[in-house]
Amino acid sequence: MKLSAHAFRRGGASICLFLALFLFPGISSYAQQTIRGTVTDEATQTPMIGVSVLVKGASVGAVTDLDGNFDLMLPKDATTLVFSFVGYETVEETVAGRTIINVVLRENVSQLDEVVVIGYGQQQKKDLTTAVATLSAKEIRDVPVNSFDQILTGKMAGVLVQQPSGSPGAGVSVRVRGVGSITAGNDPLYVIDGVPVSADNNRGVGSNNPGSSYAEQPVNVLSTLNPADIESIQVLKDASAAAIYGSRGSNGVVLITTKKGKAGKAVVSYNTYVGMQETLKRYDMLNAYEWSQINFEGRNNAYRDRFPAGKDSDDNTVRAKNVANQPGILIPPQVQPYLSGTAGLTNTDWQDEIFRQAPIQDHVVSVSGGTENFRYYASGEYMDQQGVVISSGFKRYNGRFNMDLQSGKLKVGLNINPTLTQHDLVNSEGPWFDEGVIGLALSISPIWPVYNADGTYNYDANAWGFAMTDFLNPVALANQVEDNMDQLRLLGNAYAEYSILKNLSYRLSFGTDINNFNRQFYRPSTLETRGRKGASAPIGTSRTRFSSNWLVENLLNYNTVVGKHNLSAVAGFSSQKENFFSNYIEGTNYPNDLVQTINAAGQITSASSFKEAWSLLSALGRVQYSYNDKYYFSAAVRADGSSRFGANNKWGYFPSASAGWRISGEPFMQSLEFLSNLKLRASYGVTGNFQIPNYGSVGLLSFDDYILGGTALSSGLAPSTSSNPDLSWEKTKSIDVGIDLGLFEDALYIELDYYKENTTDLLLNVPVPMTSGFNTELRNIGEVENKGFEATMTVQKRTKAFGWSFTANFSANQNKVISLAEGVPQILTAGGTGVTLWITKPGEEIGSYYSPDYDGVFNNQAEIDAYPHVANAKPGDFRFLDLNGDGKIDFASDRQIQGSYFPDFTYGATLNMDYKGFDFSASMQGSDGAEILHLMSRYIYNIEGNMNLVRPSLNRWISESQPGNGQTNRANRLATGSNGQTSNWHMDDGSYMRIRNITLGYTFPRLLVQRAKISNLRAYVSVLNPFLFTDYIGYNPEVNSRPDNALNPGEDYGSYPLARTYTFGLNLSF
Amino acid sequence: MKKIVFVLAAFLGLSACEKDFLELAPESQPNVNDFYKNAGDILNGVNAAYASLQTGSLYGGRDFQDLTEYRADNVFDNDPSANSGLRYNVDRFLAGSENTIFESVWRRLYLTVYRCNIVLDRIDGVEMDAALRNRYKGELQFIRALAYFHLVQLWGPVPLVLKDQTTEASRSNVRNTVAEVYAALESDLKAAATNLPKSYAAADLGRVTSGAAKGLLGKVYLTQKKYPDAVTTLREVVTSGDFTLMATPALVFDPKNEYNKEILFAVRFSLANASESHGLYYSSQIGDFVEPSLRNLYGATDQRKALLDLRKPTGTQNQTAVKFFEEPTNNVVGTDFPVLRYADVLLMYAEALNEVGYQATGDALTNLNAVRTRAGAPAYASAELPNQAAFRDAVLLERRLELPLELHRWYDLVRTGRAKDALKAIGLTIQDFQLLFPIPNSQVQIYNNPTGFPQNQGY
Repeated sequence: MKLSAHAFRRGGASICLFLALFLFPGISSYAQQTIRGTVTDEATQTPMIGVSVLVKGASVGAVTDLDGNFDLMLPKDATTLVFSFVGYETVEETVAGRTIINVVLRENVSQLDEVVVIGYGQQQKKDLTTAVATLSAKEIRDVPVNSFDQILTGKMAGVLVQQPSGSPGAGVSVRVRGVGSITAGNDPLYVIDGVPVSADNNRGVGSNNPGSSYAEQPVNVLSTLNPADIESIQVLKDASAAAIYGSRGSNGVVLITTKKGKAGKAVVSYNTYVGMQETLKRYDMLNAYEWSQINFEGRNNAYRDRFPAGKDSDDNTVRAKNVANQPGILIPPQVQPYLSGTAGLTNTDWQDEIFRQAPIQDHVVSVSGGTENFRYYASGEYMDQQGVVISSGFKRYNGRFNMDLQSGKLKVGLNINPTLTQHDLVNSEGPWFDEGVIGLALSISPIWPVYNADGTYNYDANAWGFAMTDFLNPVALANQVEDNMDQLRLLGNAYAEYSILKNLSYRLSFGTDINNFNRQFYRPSTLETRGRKGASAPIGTSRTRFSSNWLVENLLNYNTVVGKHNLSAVAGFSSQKENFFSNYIEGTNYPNDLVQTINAAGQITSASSFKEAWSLLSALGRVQYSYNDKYYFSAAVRADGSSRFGANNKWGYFPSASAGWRISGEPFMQSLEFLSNLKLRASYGVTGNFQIPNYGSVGLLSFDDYILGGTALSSGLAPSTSSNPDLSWEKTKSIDVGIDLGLFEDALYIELDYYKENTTDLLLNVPVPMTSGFNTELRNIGEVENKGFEATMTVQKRTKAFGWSFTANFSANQNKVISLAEGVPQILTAGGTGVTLWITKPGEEIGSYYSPDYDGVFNNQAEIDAYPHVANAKPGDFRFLDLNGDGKIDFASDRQIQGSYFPDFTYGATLNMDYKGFDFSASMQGSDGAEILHLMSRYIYNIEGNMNLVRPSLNRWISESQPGNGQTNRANRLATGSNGQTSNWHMDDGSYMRIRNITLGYTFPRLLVQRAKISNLRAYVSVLNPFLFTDYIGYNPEVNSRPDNALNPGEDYGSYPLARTYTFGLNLSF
Repeated sequence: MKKIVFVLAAFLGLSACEKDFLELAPESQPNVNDFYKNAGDILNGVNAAYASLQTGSLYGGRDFQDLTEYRADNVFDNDPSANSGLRYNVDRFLAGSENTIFESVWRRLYLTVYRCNIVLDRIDGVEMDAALRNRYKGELQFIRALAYFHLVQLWGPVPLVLKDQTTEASRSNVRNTVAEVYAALESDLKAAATNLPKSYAAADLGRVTSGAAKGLLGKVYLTQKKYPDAVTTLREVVTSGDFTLMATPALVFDPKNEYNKEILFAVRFSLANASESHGLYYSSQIGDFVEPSLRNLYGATDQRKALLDLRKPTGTQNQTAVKFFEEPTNNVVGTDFPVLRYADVLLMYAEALNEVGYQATGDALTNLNAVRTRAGAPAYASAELPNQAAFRDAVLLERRLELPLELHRWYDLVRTGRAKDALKAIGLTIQDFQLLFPIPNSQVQIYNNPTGFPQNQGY
């Protein structure tokens, strides 16, 4: 047995599969009579290509050709033909001796017959008893983005899609019904053509720059998919739907189905768009003259704080005499000409220097077609997106081959998707001191030029002196640092399905996801080091990461209809395993900048490699029963065992059940003719979150070496994590009740859902007494609740020439911590600085901002004397509230919750219209009530006159008679009064409303283009993000410095702005 | 359900052995279940205890300096706006228990204790050379004592943990008395002095010697005012001949002359390995950080004054004191940090002798003058120090002149009862409770035991 298991792991399954493929010969039917006909579209009165024509009860069929014609041999006992086409109502025609049957198909306005993929099966929308959101290919076209998840933005109730960074290829945050986990990750499970893919690749190859402790945004592992290949996207929202994915279902499941070929003549398509991107929003910064004034004022105030008799007019010699050894009070000579108002001096807009108009283009060629027994879809894509920040970009080369083959009782299929993505990276999210180019461009003084007269980069802002903070030239950094990451991914799956009995089939499938990352970084000697003039020691790194994930599934499917009873069942067994291997090498002492690969490094300063694996073994089963299309019941269970779980908790069980009642099917409702559908749904389920560390249950040792003798390293090892054999998955119990309401033949369709999800056994790094040698320990403890309301409404109307539809959605989610560990009354976490705190405690939202409360500025000494204040507060400094009323300002206790990053509600709407050949669509979305911690204010709004400042700094307090707006502190290079203490002054309202997309298209008349052998030609223009309405000070109100950390969300410490994109596109098929 | 999975699995010929499939041990990191089994493991454990002293929280960075130098009257924080005054507030006695500097040091000291405890717990169960086992024990006992010595001086009564504890067990720790802590660390140091060799082969230079253990024990006695014990112990160090003063003060700190004969124990660093380096100590780009009152104390011929001069690395605005200067590579340096050096021992010996009984001439004066004359300062004539009090003042002054920036000043001020006066002289009025630091707020909350684990009074 062990042998076979090993053989199996080496790919025995695929051998099995292909053997099976050839073992079963096809079974052909015996035919007697020929039937012909034409199928036309009711609305356009044109022939329809690719309509499936099936003989009812037999496996014989045909597909209409280019002119809408079909012919087939009718078996002897056949009586009825079934005509079907995606998006059209299915028509059954009795043959009744005819030999020519012409059929008119009508577009399906009802959503109820839509087939919804639900994981290990599919279901008609009308039969759903759980909360599933869907999006079809038509709804995701025309949007010029590099990954499909960006298209989901604002489209589905209960699915919050945020783009914290505008960097091409950066991660997108998808949250289904709030945030249930505090530390174990909140990303949904993505299942691509039945293969659950691992979120572990989001990190790419480790995202830090050498020596940096600030994480970059994760890469988007979904950007390897070509959005044009996607047929449909379903999101399983409630636990009952997601429970079939057991220990991975609690954050919701996103099912992605790619396109299949349709029987018929091969259709060759070319879809393309080209466009231009620009920054959607910028900061309003001071110019060089305005900044110089504040620089001067800040130094005068610092001077007079130390020498009250000092005058503004004192020159540096006098100042130095009055206050020794304090460069912060001197006036830098470079600032002097600006103070005297000399015209025409350097006045650099650094944002202009690092941002650009960036082109984007995408080309997809696809071919699809086949016969009734063999269908294929193949596509190739090239995408090139340059970033709006100089030197950033993303390219994708993507191929796909999908095919299905049916031969009698055997069906086999194969999907293969190789992709190469190339990320040209720029450190854009990091703070200025971490070489983040955006943070630098905002902070560096506008008095410095980008280039010197001789064309070299200007570094005068570095090691300037005068207690001026050192800045590197952001343009030099962006252009000269080479940082490239390539990802090669092979995503594939194959299956074989055999009908054992009429109602029973067996399916064996094999999936794989192989990723190879390669990242090369080089920082040349021509760049200066911060704080140090002249050439630097070059630093290079080379990183690779290889991961392979394989999945084997065995499923038995049973379907039967007995009278009005409809029963389907699935049972299966699956195993999945992922292996990683990564390398990291860092070197320095390059002889020159000519050879930048790591082999040229004279000294390797750091090298490491890492190997990890996880495995998952599962059994699953589900039964669905309905009676007379009125009463629905469903129950499912999954058992998961994983290597990640501690020895005492190896297996978890995840049951679920749901029921539905289609009231509109009852006789007593028939009199209400306007009511086309009314269904009540309720579900309950248990899911898990297994995104816990691979070896979290085992105490690990880490290297900590020492120097003995001369310079020789003596290796040391010490425990770095404690053991917890009880470690297990997080559990989410959820209930969902919903109503589906269709009126006027579903022209108006409304779905309402209320849910409540309780996540227990939260994986927490629980603080432990430091006397134990650890500061935290990973444990399953505590409870979080998410409850909310979702509504979706669709109105649609179609006349012969004019059609329109309007869809709107609304979601409100309320997040609340119910309990934490015993002895852990709250979790305080620090963000970008040690004094910036978030609190997670019972009764409050996860990761609420927790800070002192500022209340304007002290206008004079009398106001200071009259109220508790920090020791060195002076007029013009912040007045902090004495929240606990103890008569002193103490930043440990004088804090309170100041909102959170969670929006109160989000909404979205889409309008589609078409008239004759024209189509128009517009969508908008918005979010309300989120707060953002704009930590950049620490620098560009601190009024020290050191870094450049945002324009509202002009409202600062200058004197008692010139108090500004009374809310903004005085200029002071050596700040007093703890103005820099992170408080609600650094917070900003993150509410926004955004027009997401506007598209206008035109489909050329068929008769016109047919002469050029073109079957369809459509051209469109589109604008992505045309308008953003927000009061937020920064670039992007969805910003989040640490998107995968639930404990301290919503921080803006410099972020890559989103783009507005203008595109022109063509859809062409032959 | 598990059985069903099994049957299915077996039926399909897939996975025979669930155990094999689901039990994956970490491959890139050792785990505790398999470790501490042989002499090599123990050696790695001992080295990691030394390495714990290198962190930025202790001898590798600024946090420790904040508590023991900035807090005292030798240096000051000149950048109140940095980090919203995080460090400035420690310097100016404004910081409360939430200030993360306190937690950083507390955490690392207990982590150091833990690394010693876990090896000391397991070492007797490992088959190895008995002499080597004793040496390893001695090294760990010294490091543990050093950590507790800091803990008890900074926070007073602290939990005394001498065994590897589970995290659960550690929740019931309480604050032991100061006397209990001192008793434990005296016992550790006595054992270490016996267990340890006088010296090591060149490749092991930097390990704790018996001389270092005795030197530290002398300091522990002195701090507790056990003067006769201090005299006995320190005399052993002075008469051993194992240590001497360098010819000039600058030579002690010369990066090319590390771990010289004046060093009893230093925390070692190296520029050759990026992970074993540290940033320049006391580096600032704002301006001076040395109290003018200290600079003004040096006589014209005193070579130690120049060690406090500020120096900038090439091309930068940063500056640090010459004492710890080395030209950085990639902004880091590899200078060792002296924990205990012979000049300190001589001054402690002189102080202890004087406390036992003033003598106009004798070893006390000789040793005090040895330190002075080495630095180019004039020797005291015995008439200049006519009584015990005058000598006491002189030896304390000498400690300030000889040892600034070396993390001794705060402890010296507290143990001699002079902290309030010294701080008053630089314009800071403090209260008695501020002679101890606040226990990190997070720890008080975790224990949530106001009787067994109270916050220090006043905070």
